Amino acid sequence: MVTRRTIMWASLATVLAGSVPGNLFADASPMPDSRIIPSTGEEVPCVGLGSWITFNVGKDQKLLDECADVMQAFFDGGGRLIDSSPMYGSSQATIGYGLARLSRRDTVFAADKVWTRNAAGGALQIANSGKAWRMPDFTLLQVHNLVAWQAHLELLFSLKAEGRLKYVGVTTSHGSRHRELEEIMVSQPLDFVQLTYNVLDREVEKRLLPLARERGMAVIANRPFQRGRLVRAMQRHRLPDWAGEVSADSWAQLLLRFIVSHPAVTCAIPATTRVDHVRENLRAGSKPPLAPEMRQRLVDYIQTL
Amino acid sequence: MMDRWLSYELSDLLMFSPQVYYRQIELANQDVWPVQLITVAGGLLLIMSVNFAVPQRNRIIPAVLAMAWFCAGWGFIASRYSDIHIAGPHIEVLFYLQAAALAACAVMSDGLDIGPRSKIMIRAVTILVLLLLVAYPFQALLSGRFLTSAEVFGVAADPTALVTILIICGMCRGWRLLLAVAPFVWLVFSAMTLWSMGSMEVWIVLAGSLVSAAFMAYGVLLRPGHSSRKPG
Repeated sequence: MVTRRTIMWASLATVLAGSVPGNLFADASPMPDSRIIPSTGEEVPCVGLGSWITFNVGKDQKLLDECADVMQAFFDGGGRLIDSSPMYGSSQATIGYGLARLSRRDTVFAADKVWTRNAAGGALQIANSGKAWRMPDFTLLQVHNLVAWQAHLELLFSLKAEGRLKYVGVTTSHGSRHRELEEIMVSQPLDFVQLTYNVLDREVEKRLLPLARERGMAVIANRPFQRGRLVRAMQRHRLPDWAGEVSADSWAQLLLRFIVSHPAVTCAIPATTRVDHVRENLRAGSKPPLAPEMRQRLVDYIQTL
Repeated sequence: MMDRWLSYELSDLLMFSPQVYYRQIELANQDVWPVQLITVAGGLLLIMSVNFAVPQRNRIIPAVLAMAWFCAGWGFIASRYSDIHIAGPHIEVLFYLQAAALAACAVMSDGLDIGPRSKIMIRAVTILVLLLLVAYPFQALLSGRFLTSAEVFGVAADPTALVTILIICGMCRGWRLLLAVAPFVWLVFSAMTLWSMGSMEVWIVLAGSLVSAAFMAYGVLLRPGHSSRKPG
């Protein structure tokens, strides 16, 4: 029964809640913006989590728990897509440990790869990857660095047809094999393509990113910080004077926003071992995209350094 | 194919962070303790065998080295390193094959067939092996790490390979120099890893490899006392 006292307390609570500065909670847990995956219309947060090197910690319980803490911060901050590969040592098993500890198998957008020259070995490798992740199926499987891509794509498309896989993609990195990647993008009905893109590695802007838009493919940008080298190099310099105009208070934020502001990019996948870094990355994804002229100003500024 | 690999920098091929690498050494030390005491004692036996006409030294030296390679292969490479490097299982095989080759040498009647060597060579090998046994573990402190991640002969791969290559190149001749191939392969691999990690230990590994090459060149070119064989 609603009494006068109930109404009074409810009103007081509302007034108190309203008096809390609006961005206090917003800053504590910013959610990254979402991007649409063209082939299905599904939304995915524009900041993901890579696992190259950072999650390759072997069977070390202390480091496994630290990685799980990073994953917890990632999920708590609204992240979903985690990317790994059988090439990344124990990273898959680390992710599997974290997912089990955090009970987040239902939340994760599980992106992995198939990476074997043995065309017939793809199925076994995928099964082993699934055991490492402790998940029966993946959301996205990609042919890693185009290795034996014809045979592996055939397998991945068959898994998709059976309903055991939602998305199919291919990856490249370090700016290599772009011509071959372009041919595959033209000839194959891919859902995703993964490539290296950051403020210094921008060759993909010429052909591959426009092609991805034209073909309706989602794009995952790897090496957003060039394995941290880019951030370390930039931190020796002050932020551009106009950083405040776009609400950027760190180089990492600015560099990440440069990537996810490209209209063809669906998601960037920075890797980290630190909870504060994962939060900062997610915060960067929660801010408005940089306008094209701001992106160009950033490129121009970095070229002067 | 080649241009594809050339597009990578050495650091791009590094699969783990320095923190994780040295943590594996720390965990391996915990796993096998107190095996380190036995392997270092074995190392001191090596020095005695190099310096004095210890009976059966031609067989003792390869036997001790075989034990060290087996322990390092099992205690570090197989148990820890293979978890973080996809080439780990292949490196594990390399370590076991080297252990087997050394063990086979130990059961041969003439073993390593160490002939008379110049005093300079014996002293050089002795000092360097002693440094690797006693001082090398403490460079963990110089690198800002705890002694729990000390690299000890017979457990960690680098000092095991360095001690082996110095003894083989300094004391052996002929086909037995082939026993330096596996240590050399590991040291090249390790040097690339340490370089990528920005670790100062790379200079120790490179210096040890160069000194070993100089020992081999000295033995092959000058061949002091090569013709006069002496029972071990």
